[in-house]
Amino acid sequence: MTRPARPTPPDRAQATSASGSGSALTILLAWLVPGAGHFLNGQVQKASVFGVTLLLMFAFGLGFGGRLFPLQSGDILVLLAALAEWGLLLPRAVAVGVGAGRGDVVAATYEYGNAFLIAAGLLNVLVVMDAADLATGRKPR
Amino acid sequence: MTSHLGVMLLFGAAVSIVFGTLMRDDPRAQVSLAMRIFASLIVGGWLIGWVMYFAFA
Repeated sequence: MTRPARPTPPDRAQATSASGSGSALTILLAWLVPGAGHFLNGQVQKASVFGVTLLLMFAFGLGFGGRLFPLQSGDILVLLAALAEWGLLLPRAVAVGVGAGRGDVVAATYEYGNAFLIAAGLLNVLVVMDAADLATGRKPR
Repeated sequence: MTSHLGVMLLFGAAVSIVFGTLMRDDPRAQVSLAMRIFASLIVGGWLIGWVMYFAFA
């Protein structure tokens, strides 16, 4: 009676090294466009949900009069808000390019807009980390 | 939209959809988790709202 071959655990370091450039590209694209990282990993349904939901959150944030905060170290809360909003790279860059996101501080929905913009950026950071785990093999597809 | 409840529903829906999709792989499990997160956010916000109403009245 022969014993079945015992499966060997994957060499994580080797797998991570081999997919290093691929995961860097995945992280960059996922940071640029929400859902792009999952699309590259073949998870089209998740990619479309992330793309639509996070872009809608960002658009609602701008529509509510929220502000795209500048990266300045004078006020720690402004700096943290700016870092969070940079979680959505391309939408933020496009919004700044077209002159949106200056913030309407007298609008009743100004703080709501900020909450939407900040939360959308932070949620995309989580999505990017998940896409990176998929790309490096730390999380099974 | 300037309704506090409306904005809270919109925010809760968006956040729960993203978390449900992110943390589960099966579509039914995703919907189930998203609905539980949504309910928790809305009920939690509603309760905290009443607590603040009586605390600062």
